[in-house]
Amino acid sequence: MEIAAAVFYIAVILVGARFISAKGVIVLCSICTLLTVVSFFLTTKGLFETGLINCIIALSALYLTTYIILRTQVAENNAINATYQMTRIARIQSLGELTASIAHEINQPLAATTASADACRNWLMRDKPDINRAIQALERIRRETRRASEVVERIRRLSKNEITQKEICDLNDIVSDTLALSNALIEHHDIELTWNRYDAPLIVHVDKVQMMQVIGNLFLNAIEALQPRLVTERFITVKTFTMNAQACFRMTDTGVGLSEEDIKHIFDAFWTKRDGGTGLGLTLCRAIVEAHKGIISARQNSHGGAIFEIILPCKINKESNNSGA
Amino acid sequence: MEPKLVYIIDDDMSVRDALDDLLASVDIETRSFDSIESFLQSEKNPILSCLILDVRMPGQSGMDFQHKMQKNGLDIPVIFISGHGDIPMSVTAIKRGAIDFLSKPFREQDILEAIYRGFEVSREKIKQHEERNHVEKIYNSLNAGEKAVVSFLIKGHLNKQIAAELNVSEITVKVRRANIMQKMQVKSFADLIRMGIEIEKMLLEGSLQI
Repeated sequence: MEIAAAVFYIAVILVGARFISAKGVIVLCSICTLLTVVSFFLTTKGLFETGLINCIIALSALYLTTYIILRTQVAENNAINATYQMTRIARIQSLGELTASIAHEINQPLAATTASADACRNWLMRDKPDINRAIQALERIRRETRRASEVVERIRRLSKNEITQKEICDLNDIVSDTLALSNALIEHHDIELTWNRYDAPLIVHVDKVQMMQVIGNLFLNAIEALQPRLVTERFITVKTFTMNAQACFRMTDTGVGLSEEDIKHIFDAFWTKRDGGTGLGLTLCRAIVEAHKGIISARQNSHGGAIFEIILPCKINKESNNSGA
Repeated sequence: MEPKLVYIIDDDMSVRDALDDLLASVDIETRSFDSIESFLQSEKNPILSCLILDVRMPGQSGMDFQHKMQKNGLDIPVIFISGHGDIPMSVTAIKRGAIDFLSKPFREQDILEAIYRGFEVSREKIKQHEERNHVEKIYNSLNAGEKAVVSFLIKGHLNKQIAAELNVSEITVKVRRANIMQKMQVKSFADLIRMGIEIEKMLLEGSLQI
């Protein structure tokens, strides 16, 4: 009798753990312990010794289950934090360092150029103009501007190298994979995600990893837009569809939304409203999308929140792709 | 015109050359170095000077060097130039007495203004240094008895009190006072006190021994 009851308690704890916190699980476990002990004393039939052993086995099973559940919850929380931290650190740190070092590389020749230009003017403005020194300064200006343009060229080559691994793939799969990666975050922030997947493949020729970065970035922005306390409805809707034989992706959130000023500048480099933001996330998104001959746009949702849309050229126009959204 | 000199330390050759040329075009003499080490090894003249120092360099950084300069007996006004517009760093530098913190690329007017301010500070420092050398020389020319009288004079003691403190006659104190006035080349008692205060300050700092 006691064993049957204990199995039932374990089921209660297993189901309860899905909805309640660690403290709740411990309270639930205590209640089950109490019930088991009470039922042991209330049971008058059967051998006392058998009853006692059954009771001990039941309690052991109960505690073991509770312990494992608590451990799992801690591990899950750690995993969520780690994912979040990693994405943010990678996004902010690397961009921050990158811009700082680019700034230094460019400022060095700029300093030499402006100082030489001033020197050149001074040599020419003298009572007895020193043409030779002026020409030397001009030569230095030419050399330094070339140096600056070499830095720019190096940066451009760096970003060019990244857009190489293009392959034929389904936009639906890219979105699914990205959403799967961010699943833990969505649940953690108590956000309801709706994923309206287009029922036919949307074949595009893209760098899969880069597209995932773009969609992931939009996703992180949407999650951040849903953070403020005053946001009561936390919904993100993701949709893929075709329009004019093009593959489309749309993400709608119910967050703080965008002002007209935001929409005007949101893709500009170094434009950010977040403390410590680099203002490069969406700039990179646009660069990547445009490198794939696509279009990325942002607008305010009439019901509040923001809408981001990506349109990519479809590679193969199969008959299964019915036109229309 | 009094001689002036600007030291430049920057590991970037083109920045160094451009600054050299810019200052030459307004008749300011320069000496440039590619590292702090080579600057330290060079000979320095005790004339009006300031130092244009790059913040980040391989090896010793400019910030660290500014911190250590005074310990090394190098009291040259510093103007920082930096390729990173680093605000916390500029605050630290100014707090430690830098003349200015300019981010590259800098404007001609800004760097020239900083340099002239640097020269003013340098002039003050040189004047102070000379005065102290003078005071030190004079103080060391006094004999032990005279030094003792000076220390009481600064505190405002009268001849009679000093005689009692030192256990000598009042006449002796008077003679020593006259000798002190002569050796210190001062005309009035007020001048003597002014110099005496300087001596006391140096004694407290430890730059002068009794």
